[in-house]
Amino acid sequence: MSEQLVVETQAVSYHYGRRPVLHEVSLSVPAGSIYGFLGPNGAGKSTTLRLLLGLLRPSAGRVALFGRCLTQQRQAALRRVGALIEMPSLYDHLSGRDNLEATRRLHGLPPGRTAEVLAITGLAGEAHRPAREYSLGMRQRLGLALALLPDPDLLILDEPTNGLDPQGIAEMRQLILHLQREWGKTVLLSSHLLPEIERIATHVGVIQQGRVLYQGSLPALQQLQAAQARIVIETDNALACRTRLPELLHDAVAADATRLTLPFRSREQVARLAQQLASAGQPLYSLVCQQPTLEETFLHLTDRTAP
Amino acid sequence: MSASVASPAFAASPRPASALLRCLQADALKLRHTAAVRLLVGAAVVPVLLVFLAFCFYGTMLVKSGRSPWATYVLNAWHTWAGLVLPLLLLLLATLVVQLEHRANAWKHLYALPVSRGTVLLSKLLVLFGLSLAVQVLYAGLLLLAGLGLGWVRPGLGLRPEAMPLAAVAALLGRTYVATLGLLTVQYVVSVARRSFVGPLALGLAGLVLALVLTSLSTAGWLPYANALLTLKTVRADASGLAVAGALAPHEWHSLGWVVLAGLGGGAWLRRYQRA
Repeated sequence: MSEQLVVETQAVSYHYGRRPVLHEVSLSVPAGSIYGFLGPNGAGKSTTLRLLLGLLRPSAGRVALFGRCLTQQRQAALRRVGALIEMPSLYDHLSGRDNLEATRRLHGLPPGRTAEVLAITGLAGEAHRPAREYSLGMRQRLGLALALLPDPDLLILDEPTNGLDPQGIAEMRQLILHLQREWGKTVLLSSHLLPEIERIATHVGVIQQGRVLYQGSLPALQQLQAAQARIVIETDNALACRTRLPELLHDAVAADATRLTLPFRSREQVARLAQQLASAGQPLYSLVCQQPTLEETFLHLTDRTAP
Repeated sequence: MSASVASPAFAASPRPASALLRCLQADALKLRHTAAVRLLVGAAVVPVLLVFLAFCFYGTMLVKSGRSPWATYVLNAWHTWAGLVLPLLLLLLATLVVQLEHRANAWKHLYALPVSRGTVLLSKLLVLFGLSLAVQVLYAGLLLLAGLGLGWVRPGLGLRPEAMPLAAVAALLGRTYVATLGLLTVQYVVSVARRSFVGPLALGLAGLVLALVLTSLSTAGWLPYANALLTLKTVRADASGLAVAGALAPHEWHSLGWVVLAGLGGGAWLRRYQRA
C-alpha cells in the first residue's frame, strides 16, 4: 500500500556556525496524518520545522513539501502551508481581526476569509478586541487562525500548547483533531509533552540531540512499548525462587529481596510461572504484568543517546 | 512503500509588483494606532506652531531688511526642521516601524509566507519613504498656511499671499526629501538587523552629531546624516525671494547612492543572514 507523503526530508543536517544541530534527519509525514514530532527541549524540533518553512537553509540534505524541492519551489509550496512557530506573531496594538487582515492581504485572499477562520477558531466574538487583551489561549487560537488563512493542506505547529492551562490544551487538541478529521488537513505537530501527542497523533517521530531515533505510526510505537512489558513477581525470597526454577527464571532480575522482574513473552508464560512457583512451594503474593507507559518508552528511546 | 504528494495544485506565483502591492497594503494596515503615526503628525504640527508663535510675537525682530519676509520666514523654520527635527524624526520613524515586527516576533511569520524576503523588506522601506514624504509635505503645507495666517494676524511682517514662494518651497521640499532618503535607508537596514531599539537609535544620534560637526567640510556630503542640512545651505535668499535650484546637488546624489548601497547591500545581507 503506497502512502503519500506531504513532508519528506532526506538526510537533512544543519549547523549553527560550527555547532552541529541536526544530523541527517529524515522525516516522512503522510498525507492526512497528525504527525507528532517529539523530543525534549533543545532536541532540534524547532530547527527542523524552521528548515521545513525555508526559514533556515540546510547544511546538507533535501527538503521536499508536496513532492517538490523546497529550495526550488519555496513560494509555491508555502502557499499550501500554514505555520505557527513557537509563540504566535501578533501585533498587540491591532485587533484580532486586523492581525488576520494584515496576513490575509499578504496572501492576496478574498476579504471573507478572515471571518471564516475567526469562526473556525471560535474567536469571532472577540475579534474586535486588541490582541494585547487576549489570554494566552486566545493568542494561540489567533496564531492558529493566521496559519489557517490560506486554507493550507499542511499545518506546521510548533509546541502549540505551550503555556496553556489544561482547558486551553484540551481546546487546542479538539481544534487540531477537528481540522484533521473534518477538513482533511495534514498536521505536523511538535511537542515535548508526550501525553498530548499520544492523544491525537496518528504518526510519531522522536528526535534527540538532532537525530531521529524513531519514526512510524503510533500503533507501531505502541507495539514497541508492548515488547518492553515485564512480569513482576512478589514472593518471600526472590533468589530462592530463581534457584529453584532456573528454566523459567534464568533471565529474571531481583529488584529487591522479595521481587523478581523478567521480560513478558506470552500469557502462557505467566500461567506456567504461577503454576511452577506454587508447585515449588514458593508463596506467590502477586504476579503482575507491567507495560511501560509511552512516556517510559519515549524516555528509553531518548536515554539511549544521552551522554 | 511511500510516494510523495506531487500536487498539480501548485499555483503560479503572483507577479513581483502584485506581491509588493499586497505587502504594502499589509504594512499600511499595521500602522493603525501606532506611535509612529502620532509622532509623524506631531512632528509636523508642533514645529510649525512654534514658528508661528515666534513670528507672531517676535516677527519684527526676526524679519531682516534686504531680504524677502517669506524667505526669512521659510529659511528660519526650515533650518530647525532640516537640521534637527526631520533627521531625528526619521531616526525614530525607521526604528518604530521596524520595531513593530521585532516586538511581534513577526519576522519568522513573514518569512514563512509565500512572499520573497526581498519583497517583504522592500515594502517596509517603501512605507518609510512614503511616511517621510507625507510628513515633509504636511510640514511644508502647514508652514505655508501658517505664513498666510501670520500675514493676516501681523500684516506688518509683509507676508503677503501673492508673494508666497510656492515653487521655491516645493523645490526645497523635493530636494530635502531626496537628501534624507539615504539616512532613512541606512537606519532602516540597521533597525532590521538589530533587534534592540537602542542600537539603531544610538548610531543615528552619533551620525547626527557627526553631521553637525562636519557640515562645514567638503566631505560632509558623503555622510547621509548631513544631507538635509547641506541642501538648506544651497538655498539663496534676497530681497526678491527664495532661490532654490531645481537640479540635485552632489550630496543629494550621494544620498541616492546610499539608498542603492544600503538598500541592495543591506538587503542582500539581511536576506541571507537575518535570523527569523
